[in-house]
Amino acid sequence: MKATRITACILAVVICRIGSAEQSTVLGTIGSTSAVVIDGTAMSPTGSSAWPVVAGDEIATQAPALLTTADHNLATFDAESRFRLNAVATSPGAAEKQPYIFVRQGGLAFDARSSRLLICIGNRLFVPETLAKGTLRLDKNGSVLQHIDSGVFAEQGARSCNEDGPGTFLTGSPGPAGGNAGAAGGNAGAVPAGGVTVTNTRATVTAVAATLVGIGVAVATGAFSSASSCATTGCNANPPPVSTIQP
Amino acid sequence: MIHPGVVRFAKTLPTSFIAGKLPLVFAFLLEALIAFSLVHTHLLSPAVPQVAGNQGYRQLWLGNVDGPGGAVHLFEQALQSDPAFPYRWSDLGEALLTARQPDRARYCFQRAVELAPHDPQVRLRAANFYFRNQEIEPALQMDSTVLQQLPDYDPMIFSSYVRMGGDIPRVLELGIGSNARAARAFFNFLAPQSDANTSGAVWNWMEERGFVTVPMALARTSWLLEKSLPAEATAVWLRYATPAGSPYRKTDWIFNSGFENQWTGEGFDWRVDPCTGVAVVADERIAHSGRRSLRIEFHAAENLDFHHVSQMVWLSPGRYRLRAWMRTQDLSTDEGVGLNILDVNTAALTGTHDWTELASEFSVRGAPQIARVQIVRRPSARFDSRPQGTVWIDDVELKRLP
Repeated sequence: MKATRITACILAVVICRIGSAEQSTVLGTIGSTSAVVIDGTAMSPTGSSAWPVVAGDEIATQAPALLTTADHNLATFDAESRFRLNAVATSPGAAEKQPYIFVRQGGLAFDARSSRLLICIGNRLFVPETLAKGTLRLDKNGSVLQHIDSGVFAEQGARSCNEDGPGTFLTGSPGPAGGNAGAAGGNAGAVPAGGVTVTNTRATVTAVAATLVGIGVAVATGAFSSASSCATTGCNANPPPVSTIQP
Repeated sequence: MIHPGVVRFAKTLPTSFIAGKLPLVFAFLLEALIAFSLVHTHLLSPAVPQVAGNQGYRQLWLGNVDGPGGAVHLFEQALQSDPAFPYRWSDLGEALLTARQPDRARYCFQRAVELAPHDPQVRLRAANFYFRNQEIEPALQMDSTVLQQLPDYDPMIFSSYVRMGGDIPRVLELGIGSNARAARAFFNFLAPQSDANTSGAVWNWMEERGFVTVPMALARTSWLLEKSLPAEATAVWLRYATPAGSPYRKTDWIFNSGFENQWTGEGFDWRVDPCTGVAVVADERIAHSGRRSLRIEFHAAENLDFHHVSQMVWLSPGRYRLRAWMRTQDLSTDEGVGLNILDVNTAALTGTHDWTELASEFSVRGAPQIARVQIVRRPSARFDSRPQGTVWIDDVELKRLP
């Protein structure tokens, strides 16, 4: 059933794109040691080390894959990840667009080197600001495991984004640092039973890299509110677990 | 630093031996040190093109493109040591484009293609450069040269065409051109995914150039029928599948009515679907006319609802007569075998009969209609009925009545 849904999804995407008179703007490139599947076609590294990607691409990785955006932001996807790449306006009404990553499966390590990134994972929108580094992953239950090594990111709660783009979150600046549990704004209105909706939460995390017996470990401390650690499938009052730096 | 193993080895030697051989040992160690330094310098120095290239990729993947130690700088070093190698030019070109120096990048890709004009990977990378730089026409032209060389990269190139090539006519003209093989492959690539308009545009373009083959036309007809486009399907069928002089759609609306040719299952030809307990074959020994007939052998273990031999027909409004010749041998049970179209059935035969004419008339009213002629055996009211026996069918006709 899941495979059928995926195939139907890819076919729907492709059908919409074939014959489109409007040519797509290249948002960046993706490369891997194994083939990267774009819209159902395996793009082999033997042909090119990096393949251009455009808005609307449905991408599946087999091995870790590096997405480099046109403005030099980096996202290293785990093996067996699936995501959709889109482009959304940098601000309301702006002609300029920026990449928007909708993660369906797996996860990624991000490095927002030159501008903020827009990542929707588990129907929650994460916006690593410029110079932020960290990881976002979906676990087996569909909950989001978040970790930030350095920098700042903003996060909005459940149902705040979908494969086409973020909700109204981006029409204003992210809210003040610290959790802000309460009435929802934008698309985050509906709350799962027992859950807490977080709007415009900004988590500021300081990363301290420590070298212990030759193994690099990042220890994250900071202002994750209890609310911001809620997954869509339930609420856990504990902060997200600290995870090791990904290679 | 002297390797500990050398020290341990020296300690095992007698003192007198060491005293006598000391100059020799020093000379040996010095020589080893120099040799190691040379090897180390040669293999790991960025001056070695491969090393610089690898380091360049590392920096490119880390996002360090500009400045000393950046990808551009390292790829330039590699290129200086190895300027005749096209991949060095491609590497530098990709880094330069990432560093937002498209003009320099373009020059690099041009040099790479000049150095290896027949290397598909060099050309693919050059095409990707053009796509990234929004230069669609040179990208399509570059990829088209790869399609001319070999089919290995067809799906990747076609994916690029669909995602980045823009409008279909330009993709076809510049990305496919006069390459019939690539045109057919591109059509097959699009077929499962495309809508009728896009598919039709590609098909028409191929027809104008004479790229269409009969198997493609048969598959195309089936596809059009699936998409509920029977008029278009009929046009393709008449153009490619119908032999010259055939009465099909002139006097007879059944294609291959005598089963003289092996049925393809495509388009408007006979279609035979598998059915457990039933074998359907062409019989070359028994025929009502011509050389062959259709033989259906029933060895059913259950009360069959058989309708697995059929043909699609596209009918204008009017009155029609469906007729066929049937022969039976030891056909058991109370439900016989006959023909059906729309809601009309011919008589059905059981037992043993020589060639017998079955016929029925019906009307199509209103708009043209797609219908299916079927050879049928309905389930018996007796639930323990298990049909056995053999049926031959020949000269199935569907004629329009005046």
